[in-house]
Amino acid sequence: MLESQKHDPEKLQTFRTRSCPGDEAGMKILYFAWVRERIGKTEETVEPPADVRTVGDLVAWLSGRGEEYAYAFENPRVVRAAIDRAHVKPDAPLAGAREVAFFPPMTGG
Amino acid sequence: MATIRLQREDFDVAAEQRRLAQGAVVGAVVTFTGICRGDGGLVAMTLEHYPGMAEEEIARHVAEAEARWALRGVTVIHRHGRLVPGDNIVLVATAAAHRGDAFAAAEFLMDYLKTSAPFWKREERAGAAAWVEARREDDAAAARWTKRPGEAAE
Repeated sequence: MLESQKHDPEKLQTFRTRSCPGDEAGMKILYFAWVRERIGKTEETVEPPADVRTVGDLVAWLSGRGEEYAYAFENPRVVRAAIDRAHVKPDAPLAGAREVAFFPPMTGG
Repeated sequence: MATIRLQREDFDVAAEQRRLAQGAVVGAVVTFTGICRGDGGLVAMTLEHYPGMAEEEIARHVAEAEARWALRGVTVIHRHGRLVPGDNIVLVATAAAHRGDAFAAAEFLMDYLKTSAPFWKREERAGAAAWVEARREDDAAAARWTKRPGEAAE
C-alpha cells in the first residue's frame, strides 16, 4: 500500500460517515408496534451528532430527546433494531445506514 | 421458484397446494396453516408488519431452506391487518421429492417466521387491547436449527 493511501482509523471513520449518500438528508428512523405507540410517531428523520456511532449510541441519544423516547427505550435490551432492513445488534455501526428501525421482539407467524 | 406474499386478503390453501404439487419431480407437499385462535375471549387480532423488511427477511430464510434441503418449491403467505378467530394468518408450504425434506423445511421456516420476520400481533379482548409478548418457547424452537460447526446439512 502506498504511504499516501494510509489512514488512521479515526479519519477513515470520518471519511465514511461523511461520504455516505443521503447524509445531508439525515437518518430515517422507523418505529413499530409499542415502540411506535410510546414515541407517538411512525417515522422521522434525525441528524444525530458525530459521536453517535452505533445503534446503542443512537438509542442513548434518542432517549435524551424526551420522555416519550425514554419510555420507549426504558429497557433497551428488549427493543430490537434493524439497519437497512436487516436485524442488527446494539454494537452495529451506523456508518452508511439509510434506514434504522426500532421494534419489540417479533410475534408473527 | 419460491413464492412470498404479504397481503390483507385471505388465501386458498388448496389452490396453493395444487400449484406446488404440479411437476413430475414432486412427491411430497407439506402445508402448514396458522389460524387466529379464539380462546381467552379474543375478539380480534391486528397484525402490524415492516413493509420491505418482512419480505426480505422471509426471502433470506427461504434461501437458507433451499440450501439445506432438496426442495422443489416453497410458498410463504403472511396476512396483515385485522383478523378474527378462525381466520387464516400464515401459510408455509414446501414441495420436495420426498417427505423428509418437505417436513423439515416447513418446520424450519415456521420457527424462523415466528422469531425473526418483522410482524407484531395486537390482541383485542372485551374492549381492551394489548401487544402479544414474544414467547421463549419460540426462540428455543428457532435455535434448534442453528448449525453446529462441521455439521452436514440434513
